[in-house]
Amino acid sequence: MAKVGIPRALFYYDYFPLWQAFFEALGHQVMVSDATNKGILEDGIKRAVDETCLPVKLYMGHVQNLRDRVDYLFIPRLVSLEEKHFSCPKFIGLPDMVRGCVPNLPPILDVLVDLTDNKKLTRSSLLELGKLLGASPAQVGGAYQAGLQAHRSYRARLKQGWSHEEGIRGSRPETLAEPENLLRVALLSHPYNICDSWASNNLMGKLKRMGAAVTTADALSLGYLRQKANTLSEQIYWTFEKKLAGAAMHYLETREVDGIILVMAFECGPDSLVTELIEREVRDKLPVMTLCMDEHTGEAGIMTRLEAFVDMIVRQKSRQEAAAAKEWAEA
Amino acid sequence: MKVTFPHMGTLYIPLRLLFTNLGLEVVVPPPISKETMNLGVRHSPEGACLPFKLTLGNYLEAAALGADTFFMAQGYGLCRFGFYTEVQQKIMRELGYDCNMALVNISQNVLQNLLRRLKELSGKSYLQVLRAVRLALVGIKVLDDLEKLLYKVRPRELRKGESTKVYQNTLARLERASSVSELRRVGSEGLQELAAVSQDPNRTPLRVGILGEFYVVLEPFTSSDVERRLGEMGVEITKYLYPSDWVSFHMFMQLFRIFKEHKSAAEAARPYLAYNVSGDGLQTVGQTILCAEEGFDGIVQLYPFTCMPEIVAKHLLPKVSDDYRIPVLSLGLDEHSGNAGFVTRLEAYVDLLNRRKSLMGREAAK
Ligand code: SF4
Ligand code: SF4
Repeated sequence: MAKVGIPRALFYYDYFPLWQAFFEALGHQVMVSDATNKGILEDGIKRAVDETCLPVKLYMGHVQNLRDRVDYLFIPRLVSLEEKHFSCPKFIGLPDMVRGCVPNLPPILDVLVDLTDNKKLTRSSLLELGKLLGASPAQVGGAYQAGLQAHRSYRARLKQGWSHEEGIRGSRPETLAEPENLLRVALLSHPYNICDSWASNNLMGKLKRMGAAVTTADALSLGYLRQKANTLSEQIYWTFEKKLAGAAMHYLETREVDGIILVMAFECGPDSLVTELIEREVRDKLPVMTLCMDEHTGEAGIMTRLEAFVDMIVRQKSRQEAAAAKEWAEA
Repeated sequence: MKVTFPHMGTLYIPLRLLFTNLGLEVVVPPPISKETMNLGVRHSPEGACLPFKLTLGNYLEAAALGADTFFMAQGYGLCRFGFYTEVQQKIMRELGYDCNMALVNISQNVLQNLLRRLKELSGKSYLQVLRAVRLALVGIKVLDDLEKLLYKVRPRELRKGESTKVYQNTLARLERASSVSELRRVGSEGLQELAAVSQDPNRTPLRVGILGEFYVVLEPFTSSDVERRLGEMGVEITKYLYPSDWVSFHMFMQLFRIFKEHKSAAEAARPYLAYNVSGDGLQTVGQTILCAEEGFDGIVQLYPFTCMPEIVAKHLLPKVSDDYRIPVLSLGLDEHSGNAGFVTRLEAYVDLLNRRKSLMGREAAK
């Protein structure tokens, strides 16, 4: 039984349950890095190139946090998760960047996922990985099925409104009936920007404390999001950004939320263009704001902008309600 | 209908030829200037990469001159580049410009897509379109050959600036050429004139490879003309991203030599970067190694700030530089670069290379 380490960063929030089930089905133990803390961030900043985005810096920090405790590090190369759609270049180069920047690493398991240009290699790389761990192709196949199963139930929980953390843990605290929230806000972002409460300055918690019910793109189904995204632009060829665009178009149409907050890392390439497109589409019709984050983003700055945004929504809402009441009274 | 396109180095010459030859009215955007930059920056998302901002600046300046049809490449798997026009179009429309995008998908079947689009724009026959494309391709080849010779002559010239003057003269004449034979004639005259620039035969210039993201490598404005500056500091530069190579690679795969070149860069990069990260990141890493093996003195990596593929490469270059003992200067470019500090960095780098070279020369002599 080997210890396989999975850093608590980047696609952790999308795919951890899948790979955890996969490795456990093969009889290995999965270890996760600690929750983000100051030391992890500082290590990441030291390892990564200065101009890279915060999520990649955090990833490097999490790798360093894990490297001495595990036999293998699992760092997949996620190139293309669906045909003609891609991840950002940093996802594609991730195993190489880690090898280049973090010294004294255990062996890296870098399975390839490229469903556009290299389907064959995708399959064989998974078998290769199994071989490295002493598993037969049949065992790998079985483990992968177990992984998919776990992934499906994770997605189902997210759709029921569980948070990513709860979904990964597989349990949800018995809460009293949800308080009647006055406001509903969609927080649209790569999950790693909003689920890591330390790195995001507890954005989600802050919104909740201001009395807003928060929902994310993962509460909607992928196929539906893809279809919706096409109504904004058929050209979005990044899997993750397509989800965001789809969610924005969904909320624009249904008005299930009172406002949209887009969260992105400062140096994020795909987001710099896609959030712009979304904001321009939405801004005259629904309150929308973009928050850019890096390691220098302070708690105070975020708080000010959140408060201003929430105030604005509340005012707008009460104005609308007053207008509706007036109309009703006059009728 | 008035067609325009973004600037990329000297490509405006063959592109203008292409469209005028098809009987289309063309607006060449004013040469890129500070104003172009300011205009582009003002209307772009803050986090967009430099090529986005500058090409938008080109479009807006051309639109002010009446252009309404914008010719540009598009496609998936090209990093952010393939998505530029989606956003730029929205920005221009909101600014009240009438704009049609004439896009050519370059993810697959480049040649077919190009011919089809040009036919649609001009209403000409495929034969006429093919003829115009051939004219443009000849122009591209002539321009690239001139540039390659310029980089050899410049560091050896006796009177500083002479080769640049000769080169610019030739460009001006090429701008007026309108047939294949004329392009070729002016081109070969230009080559002769460049070769005739008086040079110091005893000088052995430093050899530096210019690598990085293709737009900034192609468009000297972005790097405050780093090529000319290096040349005038006595450095012979070599570039690997030429439009003519791109054309032969993507449009006519049969040019085997080029195909091999790209492949060997990918192979050389493999121990450091094992997969194509889109853009030019893989080539930057691989070509650094090939240049080191060929005995180059240094590498300059040019990239727009926040450029994803080049930042991936930048994570790996320190190790490559150590392993192959080749100094790499990475220059991130945006609207604020190109100040005095920029030139100082270049000079310091060239100094370092010179010192290294004479040190290694002395060691070898012993
Ligand atoms: S998608 Fe954006 S934030 Fe995520 S790794 Fe890529 S550049 Fe960074
Ligand atoms: S390669 Fe770099 S400059 Fe070009 S689109 Fe991508 S991020 Fe922008």
